[in-house]
Amino acid sequence: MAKHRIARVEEIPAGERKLVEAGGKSIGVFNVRGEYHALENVCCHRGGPVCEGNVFGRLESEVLPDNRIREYYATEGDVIACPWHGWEYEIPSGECLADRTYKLRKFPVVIEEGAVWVVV
Amino acid sequence: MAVSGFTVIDTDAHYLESFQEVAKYMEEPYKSRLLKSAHRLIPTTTGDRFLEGRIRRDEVSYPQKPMTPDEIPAAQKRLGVDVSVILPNNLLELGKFPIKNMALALCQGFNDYMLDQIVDPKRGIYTMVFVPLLDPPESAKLIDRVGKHPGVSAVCFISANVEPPLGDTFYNPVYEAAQRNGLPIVYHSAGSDLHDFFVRGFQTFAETHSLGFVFWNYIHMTSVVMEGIPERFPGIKFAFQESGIFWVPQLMYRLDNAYMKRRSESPLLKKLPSEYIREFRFGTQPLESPKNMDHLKYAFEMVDAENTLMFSTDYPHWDFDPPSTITDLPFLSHKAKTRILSENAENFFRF
Repeated sequence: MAKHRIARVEEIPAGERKLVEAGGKSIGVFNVRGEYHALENVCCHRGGPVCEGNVFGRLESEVLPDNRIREYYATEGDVIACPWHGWEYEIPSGECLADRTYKLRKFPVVIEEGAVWVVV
Repeated sequence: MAVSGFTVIDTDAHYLESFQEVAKYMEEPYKSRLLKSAHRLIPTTTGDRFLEGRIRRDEVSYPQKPMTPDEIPAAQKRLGVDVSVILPNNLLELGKFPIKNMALALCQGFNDYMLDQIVDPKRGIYTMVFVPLLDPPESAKLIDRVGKHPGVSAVCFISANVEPPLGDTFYNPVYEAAQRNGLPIVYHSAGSDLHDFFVRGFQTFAETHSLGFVFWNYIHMTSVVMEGIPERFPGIKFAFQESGIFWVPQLMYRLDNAYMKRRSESPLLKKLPSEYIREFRFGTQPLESPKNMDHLKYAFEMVDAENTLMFSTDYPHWDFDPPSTITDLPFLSHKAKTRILSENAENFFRF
């Protein structure tokens, strides 16, 4: 395990990400509302570059009292979709929304000396 | 017990009723329309179901003429069946029928006829509520009207040719009524036009019949699962009839594959499509019979057969299965056979 300096904190503002190579791994470091999360850039499905995907909210739906269906975004900016086939993952947990038994590998993030560090 | 060591519940049997008899339960002008139109035109068929006499049903009047109610216990005895859930044969093409008022009148008439003349819970003869899916509010009223009858064991959606697919919110009133009356739903498939198929030009009955049944089951189970019917109506139990079992694992894994990639289209789902499908029940007929019995064994494993399958004969149709279809299976335990032959049905239907 080694600590790798990834970026100055201001380099990855809220809603942004940085793709890096650290410890021989391709890693996406995301800032979701001030919290940093580091995920391995390998989709659980077919190994696609998941951390290069677009970011969305978590779409949910509810059954209304008249049994019609309403769809809505329950969150904003905390879901990433793999550009290869669309598998969606919650960035903070790394869990696949469709089946939470699938998880992206997560790496610890440390903020020190005004920089973002990832432990790989 | 009609088969040694097993109670046998036949979850899908048929009765060929007389249009003249059913018409007595219908109001004018529909009564006259039925009597003047039934069996008047040449059939649009790819072939004779009974292969010009190669297949015979000497013990019942079907298919030459309508059956009589006393033929049902005789057929049960011959087959080794203790309890039967009966669907009136002539209703199988209901989904093809375009006229709303007439479809409603037919369902009213068929339901009242079945309850008055055919069902006999003491002798194990049940039917289901048949609904005109063209008209969901009237379907709901019909379920409310006859749903409490002790001869009614489920609501039946005769599913061939029904559009939009049965997961659509269009059908909300029907699902609400089934849930309100505590009745399970049976999706009963058929060939596209019974004889024909929605792709024209097939030359044999084997082709159109093989495809039609399974396609309508594919269509409606896809819609029911992906549109979240089990989440929207958690009080209802669901069963699909008449396509054997190999279609089930294919659709389970095919839908899982799509859902993993496209979850945002189906946010109502709380688990994988295959997990909803394993909570459904499946009629066994016509059960596939591969020469390598291991293939069937693995299909049983994939669909969690001991908990999901319900035996059905489809008698007296040309491709019926006798109870030995299940009792002869070498890889099933006695307990699994008991569940498939009767217990799963007892837990599913309202007997």
